[in-house]
Amino acid sequence: MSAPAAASALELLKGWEWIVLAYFVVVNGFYVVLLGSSAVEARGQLQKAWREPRERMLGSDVAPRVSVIAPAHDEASTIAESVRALLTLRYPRLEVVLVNDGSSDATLAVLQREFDLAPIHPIFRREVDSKPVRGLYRSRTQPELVVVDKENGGKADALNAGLNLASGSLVCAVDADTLIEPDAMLRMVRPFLEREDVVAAGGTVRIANGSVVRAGRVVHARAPRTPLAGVQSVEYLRAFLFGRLGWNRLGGNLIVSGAFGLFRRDAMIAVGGYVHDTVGEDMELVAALRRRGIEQGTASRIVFVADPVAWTEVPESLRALSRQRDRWQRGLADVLWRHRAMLGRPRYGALGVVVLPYFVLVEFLGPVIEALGLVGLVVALAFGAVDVPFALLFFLVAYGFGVVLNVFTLVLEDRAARRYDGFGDRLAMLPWIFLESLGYRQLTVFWRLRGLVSFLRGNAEWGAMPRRGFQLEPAEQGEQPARRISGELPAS
Amino acid sequence: MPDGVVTWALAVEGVLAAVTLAWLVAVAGARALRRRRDTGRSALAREAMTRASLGEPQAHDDLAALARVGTDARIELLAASGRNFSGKARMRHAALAETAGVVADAEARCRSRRWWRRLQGVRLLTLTGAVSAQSAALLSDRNAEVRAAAATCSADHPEPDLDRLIAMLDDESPLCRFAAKSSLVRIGGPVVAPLARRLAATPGGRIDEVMEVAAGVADARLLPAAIELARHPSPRTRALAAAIAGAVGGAAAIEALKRLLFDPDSTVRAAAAAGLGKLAHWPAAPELAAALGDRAWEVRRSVALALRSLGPTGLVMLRESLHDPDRFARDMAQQVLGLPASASRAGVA
Repeated sequence: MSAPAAASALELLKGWEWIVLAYFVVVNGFYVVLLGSSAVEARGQLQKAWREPRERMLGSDVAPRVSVIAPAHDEASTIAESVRALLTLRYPRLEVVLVNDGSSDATLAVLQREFDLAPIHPIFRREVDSKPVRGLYRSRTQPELVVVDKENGGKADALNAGLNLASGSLVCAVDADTLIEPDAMLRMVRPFLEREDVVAAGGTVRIANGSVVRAGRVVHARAPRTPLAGVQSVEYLRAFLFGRLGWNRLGGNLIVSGAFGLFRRDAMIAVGGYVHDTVGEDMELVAALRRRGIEQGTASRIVFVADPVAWTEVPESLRALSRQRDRWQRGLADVLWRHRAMLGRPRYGALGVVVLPYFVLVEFLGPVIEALGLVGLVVALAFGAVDVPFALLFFLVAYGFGVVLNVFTLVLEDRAARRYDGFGDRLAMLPWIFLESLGYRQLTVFWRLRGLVSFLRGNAEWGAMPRRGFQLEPAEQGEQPARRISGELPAS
Repeated sequence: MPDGVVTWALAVEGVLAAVTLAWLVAVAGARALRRRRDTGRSALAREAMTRASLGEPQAHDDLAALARVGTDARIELLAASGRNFSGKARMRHAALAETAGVVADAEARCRSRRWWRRLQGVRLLTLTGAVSAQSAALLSDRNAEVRAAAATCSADHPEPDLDRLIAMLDDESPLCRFAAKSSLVRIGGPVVAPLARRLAATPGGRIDEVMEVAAGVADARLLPAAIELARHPSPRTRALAAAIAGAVGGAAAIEALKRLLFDPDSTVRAAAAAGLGKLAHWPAAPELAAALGDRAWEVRRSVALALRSLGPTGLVMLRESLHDPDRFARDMAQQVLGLPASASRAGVA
């Protein structure tokens, strides 16, 4: 390479590094705004929730009826415990619709044995599309449990089948293996009582790995002790308590977790339920609900509430985790592409000019920019285009900022949704806040990049994630067996 | 970007992280120590509280045990035990809260200038079950959260301010309207007379909210007003009128329901059919059978289920409908006749 060409290449490299620097400043500046918004929102929610007599307030027939829809596929090992936990939710007008999505294992047989199912023939209208229903059952011992046995069609299809059957005005979509806290539903309903323009509400999803579970409930919340679950616990807290809580005041959320969300049934029906041909069906539904609401001048508000908590098991093998992140990134890309018409359009208010641009720039393009920034930095250092001490300092600032955000997330957790009460558990979380920013984050960038490539190649596979179930712990005599969640998801 | 700025940023981050981490650890440590200290005391206080609520004479030691736990722990104990008591035990529980100073604390909070303190005050009164004029006064608070909490508290009051609760059904805040509705339904009987007055008055404001309460209370004294409102221009109001008529029953209710079977709005027709089914009024079977070919699915469903609940007469009509020239009527009759008895018992449909 000639000297002038090398010089201009170096200049180009420096220019690129400045762009990355500017991106860093803008994105982190927005994070600060988001953090401030989360703190204000958390304070408001805490003040309103202080010793609220929810069971008294919702203890009459005027309380909205809630249908919990739980799709299950090949979950014979955990299904009985999961359903029992759903049935013990403290909500006066509750219905549980368990959808057996063409399981090839003994899921239906286990349900029949445990809940004494009897065939029924309710008259329902197929308002949203789903694969044929093979049979409908109601429990003789728990009349609020309805089981839908249908042909396999995937999670979205199963949720749609449940939606057709649901009799509640509010519908709660959960994963069958999600452990919902007993009073979570009483807390989740609140946004719908407060405002008439709310179409969906999401709660916090936390990591159950390491916690003690009895009868489908987390009876002793413990901080994960393994690194991969530990960093994910910090990541989840950051996503929910600092991200989604903050969005409540900055234009509204675009995501309600598929593992735990409450929706207005009529609004879901109006948008056609869950879309089948995407791996990001939960995000797609929220985007569609908001879009339709804004376009037709009807309800379109999405609210995140911090204190209803559901617990889930996260992968503890890199392979399973990489598959999950790959799928999430493909889902995000797909939803942004489907709803690209809203991007930057003032007609859609904050959703068009703040929320969607953020998701495109930070969530969608973020991994690309971060990866190119890292590669550019290595090249620039190799060619002496960047001052080494400055680069080192800058790296420390970037890393330090991530740590500061994680520390403030723990403060938010302590104030708004504290579950780890033991001193040891609080201390056990500390190493993960450092490890999350250095090492784990870079890994997720790689997986997300791979997800983008998969999306561009047209990969729409869900990817199998067989669960091993909960690991039994020795139980005290006369008590139900306690279980510690192992979180191991064996590679398929 | 000059090195100085980056160095400063790093220093600020370091200080922020260190101070916040130290605070987190200190708070967690203090909490753990407090829990260890309060465990034994709380057990004693809980025992004392249960004895007092069950009517056992209060000993000096019992009250001392309650006084030894901190304010938060005392409130926690009262809240936890309050859920388990009703009737006289709840009154004794409230008296204990008063003795322990929690009621005075609540009343002081109710007078605060800060809305969230007033909210805490009224919530404390609710959980202790104490009777205080403060909660009624807060029904007119400027903050919606406080008004809603006061409405919830009113349901347990021996002499609730029913007129103000009914007036709250017109509140701008949906939360207040919900809290008022819920409390009025829970209060039940005493609500009927003022509710009937409100229904009979000019049907302005949010009449549907009043109708929902009436449907929840379902008293015969509310029927004349409900029948009058069955001619209201709003379909929702007419549907609620049908629900009230179906819940109360009687000749006038049945006549109104039969008329509403021909309402232009499908939700009203469906509610009317459901009402006739609920009353199991078998002479209405021909009218219902005629409605089985309704153009709206929800009406056909409601009619078919109503016919089924009429017993043999309805079942005969349904079997005849299997030969109806209208294929929608045939299909719905077939679906209902295929319904296993278990579903009917479980109230599926």
